[in-house]
Amino acid sequence: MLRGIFAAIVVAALAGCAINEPAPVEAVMVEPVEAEIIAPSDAPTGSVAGPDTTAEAASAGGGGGWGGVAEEQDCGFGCRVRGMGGIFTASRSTAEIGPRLWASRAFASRGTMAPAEFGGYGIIYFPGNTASASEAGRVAMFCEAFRTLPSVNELETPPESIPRSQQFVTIWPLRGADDVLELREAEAREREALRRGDAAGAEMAEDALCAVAATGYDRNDATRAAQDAGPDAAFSGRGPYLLAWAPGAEKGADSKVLELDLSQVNTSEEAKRDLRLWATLIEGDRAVWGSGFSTARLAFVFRRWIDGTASSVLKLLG
Amino acid sequence: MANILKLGPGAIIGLIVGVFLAEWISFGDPAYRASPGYLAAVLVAALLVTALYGFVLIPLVARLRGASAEEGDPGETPD
Repeated sequence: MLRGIFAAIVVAALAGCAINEPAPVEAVMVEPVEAEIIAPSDAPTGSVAGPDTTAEAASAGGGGGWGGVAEEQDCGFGCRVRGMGGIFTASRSTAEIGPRLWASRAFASRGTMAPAEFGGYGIIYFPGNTASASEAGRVAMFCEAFRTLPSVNELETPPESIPRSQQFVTIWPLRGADDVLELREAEAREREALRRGDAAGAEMAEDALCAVAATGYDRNDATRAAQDAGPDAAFSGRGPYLLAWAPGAEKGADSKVLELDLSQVNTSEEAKRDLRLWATLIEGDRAVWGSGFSTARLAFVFRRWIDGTASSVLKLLG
Repeated sequence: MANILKLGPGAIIGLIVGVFLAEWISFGDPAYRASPGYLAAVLVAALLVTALYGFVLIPLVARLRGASAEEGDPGETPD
């Protein structure tokens, strides 16, 4: 009987791998130029990632820059992954981005961090008013969590020395250079306090920094970025949402986008946990970026669920 | 007590499955091992597998053994 169960598990796993179809990605990675020429509507059925993709591409007759259709996949529990359905976009992006990306973050005003400089480009989008008193606590909580990601400068300077082209940056957009300056001053105060061993001073400096990040948040820039995620983008939750494009140079509706809805996050721990998950998604298995079924996507959905229910499960089990 | 001990192999298999599951969902992030999600994944999988072992597999094996014993009853065999 046990043998039968294990055989069933092995068959299911093999079936999952067959649906995942990782081989064509590698095959196209070798010849990205060839992939660029072929539009999904002309593509042979066998080289398309999923069965629904062919239908969508054919019905649209080639929509965006890649001649494909931006599609959205609900992977449940607040996760939506959107991107091109065709295998070509995924492979082209992978070929351009390089083998490894490091997650980073930056508080930046418009125009100071060009998406094209980075291997990947993301943004934190708050649909509500970040300067309002009701949202202040929540924004500060996400600001603290956001700061757990290494900054662009940290990664650029030795010993890491990781160029921007190998970074997947997530931007906290700020309205003007004044806000950035004020924020840098608060950051310097925090560093100074930490050097002195003054924990209270460092906390005060961080509070001041996050207050600037909240009041100076450039909602217009973030809204434009959210619109870049696609015309059918729906941000009905309280947010924030993490949106990402890869490669950064292709930021727009037609480039691959990873989207993480943090509307259900209520505590500082949860916020930090989800920002860590964001970094893991960026740096880890890229199968989770694409559309269609993949075992990595399944793992991601399960992790979101178990993370959301872990405290109740552990309480239940004593 | 004897019934609980019977679940031992199921619990061990469950824990192994749980650790594999938790490693799979951690995406290679070592920091995740210290999180409640990791522990919850291990425990949930261990409980499920143990329950399957205890409530499905053991009774099924017992029933199959019973059936085969009846088939092998010497009273029913021809001379």
